[in-house]
Amino acid sequence: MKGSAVRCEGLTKKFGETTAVNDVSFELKEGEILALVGPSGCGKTTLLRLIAGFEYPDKGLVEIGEQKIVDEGRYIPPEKRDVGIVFQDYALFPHLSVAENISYGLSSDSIQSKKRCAEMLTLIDMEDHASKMPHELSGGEQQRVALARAMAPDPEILLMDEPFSNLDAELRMRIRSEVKNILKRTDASVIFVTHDQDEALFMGDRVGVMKEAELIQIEEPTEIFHFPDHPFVADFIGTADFIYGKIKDETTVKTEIGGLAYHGTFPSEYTVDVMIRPDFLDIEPSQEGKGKIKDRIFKGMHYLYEILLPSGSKIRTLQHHTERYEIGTKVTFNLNPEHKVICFPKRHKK
Amino acid sequence: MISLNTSSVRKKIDRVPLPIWLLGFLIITAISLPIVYLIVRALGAGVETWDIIFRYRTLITFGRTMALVIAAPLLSLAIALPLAFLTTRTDLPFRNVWSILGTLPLVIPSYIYAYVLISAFSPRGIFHEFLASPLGIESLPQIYGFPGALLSVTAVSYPYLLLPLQSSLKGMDRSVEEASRSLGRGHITTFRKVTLPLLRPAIASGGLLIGLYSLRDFGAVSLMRYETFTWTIYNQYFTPFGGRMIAAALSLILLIFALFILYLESRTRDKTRYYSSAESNSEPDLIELGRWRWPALIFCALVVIIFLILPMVVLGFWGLRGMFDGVSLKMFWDPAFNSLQASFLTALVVVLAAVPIGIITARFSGKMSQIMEKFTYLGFALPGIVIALALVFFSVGTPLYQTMFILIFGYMILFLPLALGSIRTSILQINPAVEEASRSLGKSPGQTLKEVTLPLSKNGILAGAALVFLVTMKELQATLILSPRNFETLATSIWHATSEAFFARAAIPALLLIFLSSVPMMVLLIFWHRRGNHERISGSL
Repeated sequence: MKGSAVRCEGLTKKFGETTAVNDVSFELKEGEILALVGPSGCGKTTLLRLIAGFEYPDKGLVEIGEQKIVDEGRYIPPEKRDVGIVFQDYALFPHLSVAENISYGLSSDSIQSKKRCAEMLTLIDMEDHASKMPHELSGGEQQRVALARAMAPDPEILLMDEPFSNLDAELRMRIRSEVKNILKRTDASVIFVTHDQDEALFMGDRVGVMKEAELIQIEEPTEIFHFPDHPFVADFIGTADFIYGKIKDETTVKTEIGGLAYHGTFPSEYTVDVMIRPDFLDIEPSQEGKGKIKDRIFKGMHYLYEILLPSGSKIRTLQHHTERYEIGTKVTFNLNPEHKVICFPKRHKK
Repeated sequence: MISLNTSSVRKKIDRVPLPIWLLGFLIITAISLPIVYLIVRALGAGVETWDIIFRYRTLITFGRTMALVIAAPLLSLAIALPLAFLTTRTDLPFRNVWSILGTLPLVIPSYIYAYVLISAFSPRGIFHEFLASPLGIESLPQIYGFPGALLSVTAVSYPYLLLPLQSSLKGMDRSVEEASRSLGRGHITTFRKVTLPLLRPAIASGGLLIGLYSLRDFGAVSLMRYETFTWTIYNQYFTPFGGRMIAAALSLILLIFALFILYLESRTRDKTRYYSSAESNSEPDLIELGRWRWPALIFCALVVIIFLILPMVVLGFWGLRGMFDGVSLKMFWDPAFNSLQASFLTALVVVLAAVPIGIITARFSGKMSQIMEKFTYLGFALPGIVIALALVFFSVGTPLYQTMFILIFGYMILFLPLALGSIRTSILQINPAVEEASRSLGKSPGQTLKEVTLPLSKNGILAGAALVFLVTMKELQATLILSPRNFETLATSIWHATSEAFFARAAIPALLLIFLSSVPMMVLLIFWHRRGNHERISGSL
């Protein structure tokens, strides 16, 4: 069993009236990558800054390794925390060369620090660029230097704040697998913040979803995708629609598109929101069909159909590009029996 | 001609319209002739000139000038860096107030501050009368000479460092400093190894501008009797038998010196872009001062007392005493009128000259455009005394000598670069596609200029005019040499009264001058501050 790299408990931070981080608790294991994902303004960057020490929490505790970093009346400044950070805009020192940037956090023992710097340059595959200045590097290269600089002092944990958001789409895909490779090879403990769910699922050993200052679920990527705890998680990680359902028995829930097998247990007659992902259903044109195609979006390999149900609810479904139906067509649904749907207790109006 | 690739092309390959070209050519020729004439005359004297340049006394003058050119930026840095840091990065109480009060000395001309120091601390000054004599203190520290000159020049020029430092400190990407903290470096090491190096371009550029200011300053060094190049040249000019020859030779050295500083300054500008980060999202966090708040407040208060309150109190004192002694406001109607009239005419003439050059350099490529651009930039370095001498040599013996025409022509050469900077920027900000749209809708280039380009650059033209008006009001050295006989401006009245130690008589024109120039100056400062355009404030020396 590996030790804990970071532990947060009841971490809370308010800026004036608004709560940026509310009662967040989690633990990061050594060598683990935790991807924190959520819409902008959900507090994920503030959480990172609390751990780094750039913000002072109103309540709660942070431990790095076994050491209490923040607790009642205790606050250790950022420079004493043994935390490495990769910033969104890289924040390379513009007046220092690549090698000087990487060596900045190393002790001034020049032989040791030169050796470590060379190691890091090899790790990021930039041995030839040691004496270049930051403005001479491409975006991807700056990104790697920022990573090497943060990792050079061998910090207990590495915090990455939207590190790929300044790269264009194609480069981002390539860089993120390079970076994941480096992180896994060095067995780094990482908290990785992003607003991009794909990136979170790709990078994280576990994914934490944040919404309105709260960490609402933290789980392995496949778990969080298939078994979301919360409708928001279902919608944010992947695409999901919700339709009204009533529990029939231990296995089936009744909906307007028929009875569906569901996951978990609910008392019968319980009303629920049923989560439908676009790959759950097949459609077929039929005069008696309850659904009516409202919109069709061409996605290359697939068509995404938006279908209006009698109750007024809408669901989306993905069909192979050979299945081309006109808008207005009435359709029936074939349920994929492999999929058990997820039900959430009916949301109460506030 | 139909140009489809519009937005990416700033300059056209078009020919400059002939009337504009001719106008530009005339102006550039008119400006360069006197200087060329000065150079030719100085070198034309041959061996004699070289003797003057290499004699021992020149070396002394050079040493004195150097001392001021180096010391003033250093003293300014010692004032501006803490002030900039405290007002941008800490939770100092009333930060914005200190920031504005710290910038205000910019409106005080150096000779007024020098007058304030002299009339307060010289043997006939206030302190001697009220403190030293009653207490039996015989001698106060000597204010004349280097200390007085240094303090006066620094007092009115340190804002040229304060402003760029503040904007660099504010605009700095906070994550760069946080990166340093997260890599195990504390506040002080981070400041030394990251923040300070990132401020280097601002320090270099602002420092060099202050150096240039010290080099060109005449008002403070003359009143303080500190013989730098400008004051020596002035004295030589009035020395019979060969004095003018020496003045010409020394002017040449001064000119080269100034161009060299300008060259250094332009090099710092080229490097700046590597230092500024592409996008800085959030402002840095404020450092809590805690118990350091009191020393910090005392520092800010001292700066404001020495450089702003002291001058106002001393001016007020002498102003009141003057009133009791029968100095009346009426005595200064003529100088005030002369100042306003000359400044107004100059602003008008300069804008008329700057608009065609602005259009050529902003809109057309080619040799003519490049030469004009370089030339007008060089204009920033020209010391007033050099222009004045050049014009004297040029006009002496002609009916133009010591006329209003020559005076305003001198002002124009001095202040054209200022107006041009403002006008050129505003033309550059107009999307060329707008002008091309006008052409495609059937308007001629002339009509387009009149109906599109000029109305759109109106603000820049007005700002340029206001700026020229203000600096002309304060101008001293060219005015002393070039103005018609018995033509006194506010600036020359203050200077004459102070150099003859009639302190009470200098106060009212000084107050008038500050009042007349500070109100519009504030408007300009606010206008620029909002647009973050510190380069133009720097240009307003």
